[in-house]
Amino acid sequence: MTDGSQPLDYDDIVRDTSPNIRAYIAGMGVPRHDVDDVAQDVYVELYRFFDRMPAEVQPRQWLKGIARNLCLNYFRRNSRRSRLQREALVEIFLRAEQEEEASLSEGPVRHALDGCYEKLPQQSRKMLALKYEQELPSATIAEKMKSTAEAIRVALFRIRASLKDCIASTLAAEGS
Amino acid sequence: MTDQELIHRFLEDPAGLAEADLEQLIAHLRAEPAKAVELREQLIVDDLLGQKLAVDRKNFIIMVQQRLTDYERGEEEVYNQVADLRAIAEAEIEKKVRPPGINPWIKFAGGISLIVVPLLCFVVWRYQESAPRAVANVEELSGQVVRLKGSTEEPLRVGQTVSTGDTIVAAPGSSVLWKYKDGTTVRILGDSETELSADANLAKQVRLERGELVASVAKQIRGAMVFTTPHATATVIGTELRLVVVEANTQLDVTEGKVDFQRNSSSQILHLTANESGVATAANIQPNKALWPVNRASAAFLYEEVDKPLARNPESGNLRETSLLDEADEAGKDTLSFVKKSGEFACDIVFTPEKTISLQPAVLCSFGPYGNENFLLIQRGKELSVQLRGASSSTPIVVELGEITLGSPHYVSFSCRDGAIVAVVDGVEVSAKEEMQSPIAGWEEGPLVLKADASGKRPWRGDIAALAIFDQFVDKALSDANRLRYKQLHP
Repeated sequence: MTDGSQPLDYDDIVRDTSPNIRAYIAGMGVPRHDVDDVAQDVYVELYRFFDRMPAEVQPRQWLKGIARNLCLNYFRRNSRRSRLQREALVEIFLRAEQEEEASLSEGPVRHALDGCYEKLPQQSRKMLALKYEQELPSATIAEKMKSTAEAIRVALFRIRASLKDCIASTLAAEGS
Repeated sequence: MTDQELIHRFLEDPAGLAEADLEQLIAHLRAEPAKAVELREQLIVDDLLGQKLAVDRKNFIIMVQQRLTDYERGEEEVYNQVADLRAIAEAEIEKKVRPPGINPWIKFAGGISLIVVPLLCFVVWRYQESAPRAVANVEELSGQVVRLKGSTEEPLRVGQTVSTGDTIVAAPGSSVLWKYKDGTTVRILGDSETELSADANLAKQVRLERGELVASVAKQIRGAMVFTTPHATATVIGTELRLVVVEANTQLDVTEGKVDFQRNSSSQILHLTANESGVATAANIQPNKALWPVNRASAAFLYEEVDKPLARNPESGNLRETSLLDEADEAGKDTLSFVKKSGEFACDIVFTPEKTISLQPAVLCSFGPYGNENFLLIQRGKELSVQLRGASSSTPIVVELGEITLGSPHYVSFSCRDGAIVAVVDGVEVSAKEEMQSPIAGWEEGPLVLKADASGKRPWRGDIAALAIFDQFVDKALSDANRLRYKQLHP
């Protein structure tokens, strides 16, 4: 209950928070193809225990708490061999969240990303389309772009870093 | 592999690193926390790009709705049961080397099962749809409430489930509250008959033949929840409402959200929103003036500053004008007759205490004989309390309601019945006692007095804007509905 007077609508919460919660789950190291499954579980849990959400807590914060637990469950269930390492990584990422200067899992990040994406050079957008739209591995992208897989990984890293800076400054500007 | 290459590999496929590589990555991130922040940011942007560009990730909200539909249908259980079988099937598909040649009889049996299994599933599904389904749990119950299943009748108890096809009959003065899995609650009050059902999509339905119903309906994903009465139909997506059915009409009060209210024998629909009310009879349907309190039908005494006090006539059951100056004894006597009959007492009061603090006890409301009052609402300094006459002993029951702000308006609800006391101050439940014997049986006739006790002593200074005394228990939800209605009418 954000303002203490208006009752919260479940659908509104899903719509408003899902980009952030999905990204938040990915930020704990859950593989991309499983992020949405875990996120759906988060919203089912919210639905089941909707009346338990404390009035003074923001839905996004409440959902992050659920997401943290479900991510740990996910790694316990799916990483029989490297379970301890996976749990250690989650711990590292949770600590990283505390040290983060501008939170990318808060605010209208998807809207900010749309704006930043439009500002990217044509070549970068082409590479992102191959990676995320066609879901090609770096080695295949490298073949198409006459490069090496590692060079593609480095290039993608740099594109994401520039997008991150752009999103952070957009969110900061909108916040101010 | 360098640490940076490891990070790139992890970003490419977080599940793909071998144990030794993961160990190296963890050591690196622990040594350089800034790299952990950077990697996390990369993962987040990576996912945001996936959300934006990957075709199969663009319908997330629809996927959530589908998951909720599955959850509602109870298919989680079915899913778990078939998960192992599915895993075996998937493992078979993934096997690179297929066994040479399959027995033609196995192929034939497989073909037949492909036809029979879906058919069987369809038949089971249709059967489940028409069979009684447990839909809600009984959470609260007082008085005599029974469930009719065909020709059998059994007393209903707290903790039991109620199913589609059940008819719930409550005796006068009784109440029952059931809660659906999605949090929707339905409370039935007094002499009533209700039937639970569901449509083909499993959307909730409740038929109220007679009596009073208060519902808080969560957002419905299987279709609108429908309340039918002999006179009208109320269609609800998500809201709070109250229905009162008497022989001549059905009254609908909407506390929150929107409800379509349609008379059964015509196409005329009233679109009612928060704090609106409508009445349907056999002949017509029309908006009704919103009044405080919403459970006006169970008010034995009513006072709003702008109007003369009203007391229910024990002979006719109608509210009639009274005076607390020269008819305090009669008002108290009439009110007590209703309260003793139902065995339940509730009081809603709206007041503003004077700003000046006084440590002497002051009585806002006194009900009962002097010196042995049934009910006293007392302010001492900033502290508010209720004193009830006990059932058997001479020691009164004291319920502390906490501190109030002097000079500010307050809305206080206090209720008691056998087994429960609830007090709500400005929307906050400040006291809830259970397993207590109702004191009402021992209550005696005496005047109803405001701003002092029955002898005119212990004067209270301030303004009492409204007072309602009910012969039915007012729980937190009903108290909230009354408080919001009062706020709407007196902004």
